[in-house]
Amino acid sequence: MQIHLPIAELAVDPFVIIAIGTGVGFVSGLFGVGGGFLLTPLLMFAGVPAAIAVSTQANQVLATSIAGASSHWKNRAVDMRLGYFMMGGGLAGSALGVWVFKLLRAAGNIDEFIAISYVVFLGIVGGLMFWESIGPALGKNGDGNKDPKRRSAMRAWTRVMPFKRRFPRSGLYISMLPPIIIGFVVGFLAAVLGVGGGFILAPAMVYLLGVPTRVMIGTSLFQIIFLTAFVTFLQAAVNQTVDLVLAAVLMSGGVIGAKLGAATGQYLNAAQLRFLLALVVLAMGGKLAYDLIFGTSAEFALEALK
Amino acid sequence: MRAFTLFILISLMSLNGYTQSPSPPSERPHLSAALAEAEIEVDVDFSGTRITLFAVSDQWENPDIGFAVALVGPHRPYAVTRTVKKEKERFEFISAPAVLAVAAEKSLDEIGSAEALILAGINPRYSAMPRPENINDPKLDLWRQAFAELKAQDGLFHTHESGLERLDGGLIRADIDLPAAAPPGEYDVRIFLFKEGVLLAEAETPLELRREGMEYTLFNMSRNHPILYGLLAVLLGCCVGIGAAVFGGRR
Repeated sequence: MQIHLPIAELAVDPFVIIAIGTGVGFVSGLFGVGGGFLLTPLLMFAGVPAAIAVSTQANQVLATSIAGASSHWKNRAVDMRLGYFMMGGGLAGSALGVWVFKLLRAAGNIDEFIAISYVVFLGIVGGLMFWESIGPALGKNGDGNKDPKRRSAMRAWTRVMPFKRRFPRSGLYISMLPPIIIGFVVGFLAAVLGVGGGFILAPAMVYLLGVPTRVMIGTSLFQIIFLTAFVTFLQAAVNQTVDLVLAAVLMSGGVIGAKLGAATGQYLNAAQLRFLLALVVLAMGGKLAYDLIFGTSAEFALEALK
Repeated sequence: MRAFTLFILISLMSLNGYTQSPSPPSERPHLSAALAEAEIEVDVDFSGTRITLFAVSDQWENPDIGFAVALVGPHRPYAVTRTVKKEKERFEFISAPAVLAVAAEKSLDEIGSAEALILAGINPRYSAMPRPENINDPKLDLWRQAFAELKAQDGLFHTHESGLERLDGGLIRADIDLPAAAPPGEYDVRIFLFKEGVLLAEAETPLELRREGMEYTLFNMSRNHPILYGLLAVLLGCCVGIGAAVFGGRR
């Protein structure tokens, strides 16, 4: 059985697409990441052109983020105030990132630069998370989120800045500037690297702001909802590269996966969640490093021009 | 019933609904063609189809004559990118068919000479047209070959060597599979008559793959009402997400 995609102009097996959506939705609901960094390569592997895959995944991530965030919302694990501040910074950072990306691209071949940056960034983030969570995840130190001195030092900057606000859901009393700055930086990096940014945002919230892991997941998804809605609209309206039929099929699997992921997350403690997320981030970095070194992409590629 | 269908088709060929090779000299063989379906509707459930062409020739009994049928189109510009050790090269074709499907009685090499096949436009390696300034590019053959191989990998360029049969009464029938990945647009179905490797006559008839239903609505909206399409995309994501949240919550 196949379905024809009106914008991609090709036929795909809907069951393969549903399976991809379900798998990525599960990861999204479990870890509070959008899942775009997994979804885009999987869609391309299924034969969907890169431009359509990049744009349509944002639409699918929008739906799964809403479904995933709702579960965390019911569990009172979404800090909306924190989410709004980060969203404001994120939208500004994304806009600047898109502009810088265009400039870099016009200046020459930046694909390798992006790939190397990606590997380095994922390696550092994933490595730190793995190191921090391996002990607690194995039950040696309880929850590793409880104030080691080093972590307090990492968060000290959030306490000395002005414009302090209370974030009761997260149990924080910090300046409103750090969430805005983190949102801005993550939005900028996300635009330059061409991903949703959730997997960057999640560890930044835990390690730099001190947001509890369970609140971090719901709040991260909350912010991703607005970012992906913004990106979906722009890609659909400006580039006409969002395929709604593909998105609808992806969503049908994605929302189920997101609910399952969020439910599964309730049975894991914070350290275990961080440990698993670290493995996902490191695996992604390892795959990119492998592609970078061994060059697994095909020699020739075809592109239909407008 | 089949005889009646053939009678109708042949009758149609004698009217204006078909295309014939342009006024051939009297010694040239006669060749004309018509399709069983000149329009095919493409909706989201389109999973490919089979095109059936009927042709008439006064040479149908001649064993020295070889026939081939090609489904060609729609033509559009393409770019082929080559990546070697992180170095990228790009070559653009101003026009090339999205689909080139050929049905013949036997191997094309046995029917027509290399030059005749190129002239007929059914040699996949010569189907893409470069920009005029690149016509003497030393790597042109490499790019053309890459284009044809990539199209073949997608199932859009293919040759069926026993997809054509000679029926009674001067009638020829050819079946060509049109893959689901074939883009909507204007196609041509062409029949060629070769003798001793030389192209002697050809006829063609148009075929349209027309978007219908949801396929048409979404494509049209994305191109002509992009803001509305963008809002619809966001609305779809929100509705599915909220629906899943409500449904999941009730369970």
